[in-house]
Amino acid sequence: MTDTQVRPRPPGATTRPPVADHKGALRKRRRKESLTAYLFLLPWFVGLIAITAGPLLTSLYLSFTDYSLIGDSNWVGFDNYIRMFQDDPRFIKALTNTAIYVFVSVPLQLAFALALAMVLDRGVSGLPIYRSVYYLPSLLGSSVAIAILWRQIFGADGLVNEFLGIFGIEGMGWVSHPDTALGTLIILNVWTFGSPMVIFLAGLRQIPTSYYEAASLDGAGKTRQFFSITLPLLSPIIFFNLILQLINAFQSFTQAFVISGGNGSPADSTLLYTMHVYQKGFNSFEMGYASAMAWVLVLIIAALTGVNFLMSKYWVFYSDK
Amino acid sequence: MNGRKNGATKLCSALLLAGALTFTAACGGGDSGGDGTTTLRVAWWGNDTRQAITEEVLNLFMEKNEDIKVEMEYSDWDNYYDRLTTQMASGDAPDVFATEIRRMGEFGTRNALADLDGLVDMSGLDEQLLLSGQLEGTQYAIPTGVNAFIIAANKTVLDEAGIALPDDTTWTWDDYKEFSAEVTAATDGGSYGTQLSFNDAYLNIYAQQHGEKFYSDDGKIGMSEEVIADWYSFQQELIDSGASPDASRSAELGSTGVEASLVATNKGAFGMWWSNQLNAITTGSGSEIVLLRMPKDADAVSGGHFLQPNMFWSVAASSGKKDAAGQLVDFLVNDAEAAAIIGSDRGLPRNEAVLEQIRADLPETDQASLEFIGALADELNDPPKANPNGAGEMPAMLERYGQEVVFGRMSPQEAASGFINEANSVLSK
Repeated sequence: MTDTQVRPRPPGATTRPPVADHKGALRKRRRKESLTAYLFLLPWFVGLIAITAGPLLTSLYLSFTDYSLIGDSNWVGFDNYIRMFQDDPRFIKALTNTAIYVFVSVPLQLAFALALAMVLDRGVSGLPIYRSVYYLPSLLGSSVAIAILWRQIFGADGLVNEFLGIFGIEGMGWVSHPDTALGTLIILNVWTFGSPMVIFLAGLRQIPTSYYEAASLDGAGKTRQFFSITLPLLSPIIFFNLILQLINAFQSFTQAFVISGGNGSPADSTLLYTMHVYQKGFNSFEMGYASAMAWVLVLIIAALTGVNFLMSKYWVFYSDK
Repeated sequence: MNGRKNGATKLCSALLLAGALTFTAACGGGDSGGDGTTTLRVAWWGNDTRQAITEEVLNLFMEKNEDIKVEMEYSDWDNYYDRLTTQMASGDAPDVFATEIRRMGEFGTRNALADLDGLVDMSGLDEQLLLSGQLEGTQYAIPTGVNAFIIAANKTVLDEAGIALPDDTTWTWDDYKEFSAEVTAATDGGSYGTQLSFNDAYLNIYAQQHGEKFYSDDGKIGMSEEVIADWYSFQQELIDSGASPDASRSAELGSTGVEASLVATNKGAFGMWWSNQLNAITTGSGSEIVLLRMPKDADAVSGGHFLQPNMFWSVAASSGKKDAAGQLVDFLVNDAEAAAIIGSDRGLPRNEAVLEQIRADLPETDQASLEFIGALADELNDPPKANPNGAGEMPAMLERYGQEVVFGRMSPQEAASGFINEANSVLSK
């Protein structure tokens, strides 16, 4: 028995078939909900149109010109795009550096995030504190202060070398050697595993414990449970984190800029893509060329994200499908 | 029904709020004036010493000109031009700003600088020197003074190592290397002889000693591959002989300013810097610092030294307050009181009248620089002209190829030819 049947009809109310009434209410609620959603999205839309869209389109236009920041510009067609691949060895260098940076640091970062999330999910006391502590680097990681700190830690007389000195190992200037400088940047990015960790933690909480109970009754060990329950059920979250961190990593700039003193030193080993864009734009007064490079980066990220979405069919498991 | 009305109200207020926000944003950043005073924005780069000095002199200017208010925008050298060009691009350039010879031409040819003729009294200034701030006859920039690129020797470190101050009229590059290596050896690694410098002024001097010019008359690289390769391999020899720290320590030092340099922290006997940095080095180290000529080989054509007007004051072409801006620049280069505060921080003043008035009151370090440059007078080569476009990229490029050499990834020859190719592709475009 439901409420509607008990409640007396208000006088004068039109009689409608109960099913249709239900559908109408649903539609009404949906419309209301989507209106609310749009309202929440509104500030973002205003921001997009007023702040982002203009510069975005302008930079697309500029990428076909020889705009130099100050002074006039001329239309040069696809010259900038062609030059990138033919006459700019540093472009290739920057692309290689960035690829190494992204494809090493992102998987490591996600692995760390997942591992820590699983430890924290075990029910440590004081979870909010741990969560905050590990999340902190994500907030600070891209700041100038941390980059300067990093430079000190990995410098010739830095903490790392002092630590190594205890074991009688003579260190070197990690940030200033071309073989290791990019490595310190990668470590810095891995260190900011807090934000994917928090998302993983939320994801882990969503997995019903009954699955694990059932599995352990069937004799599945911890490893088996991890691969057969945790990973598949967490795969949408992993996918989400992967996409997000890939895009972030491709756009890394501040850390490399500060640690290398703004020029990708030593010997271009920390010249990330965005830094080359910046240098071309602001040091060489080739803003047109820099815009073209920025758009190539957009294409690269879009292509990679597209590939990821295609591949996700084979490994991402949505339990509600 | 009620709910929808509520939604519409919410939508309206949200739109209004968003509109208001955009409006405020669009209106922000306007001029604050309105009480009859003119506000000038002044930008420069530099270390803490210069910041304090410049602040003092600008405050003096405001005292003397109560209708002008000066807003100061300073930054360190690394980001100075990035910021300035961005401001120019957005039509928000400071009214008065400092430039140096490597970038001045770039701004001038792109019409970002105002013609200073009639705005600033140039009668007292050295004519030869004024030429460096001209492009095709138009005075776009006023040189603040001159510098020589020199070797600063730290007496404390030399004494510690038991090494006598070298005779700079006769010393050769090999002497420089040997003395430096001896310092490192004598102090048992506590101090080093010297640190690497990939400064373009150093290469310029080195090239002139070999009878070559850094820039050719058509604004490309005028040096031969051989000279540049020699220069790079000499830097490598400094590391190999122990005269300088290893490659990665050198790279680390290379990314810091003069205050953190070896010579300014009593960890190095020699360092190559501009003469106006003597003050910063002396203050930093607390030691007696002696200026020395650059070494040269017996077959050198000349000592290679030149007086570089490596800093200028310019007025933005976009400035709406050119008269006040000109007044400020005039004050900075012609006023004796201002000169007394500035001293040699922006190079030694070349305004003879002003110089005579302040000479006696100058701090010891400035007197030393003046004396040094005076002694050098007969050996000097011509001051450089405004550099070709793209010159601003040379220092970083020289350093990058230098690092390829000292980290053993390129031979000096490869680095030299790589540098020439890349440099010529960006110069005089």
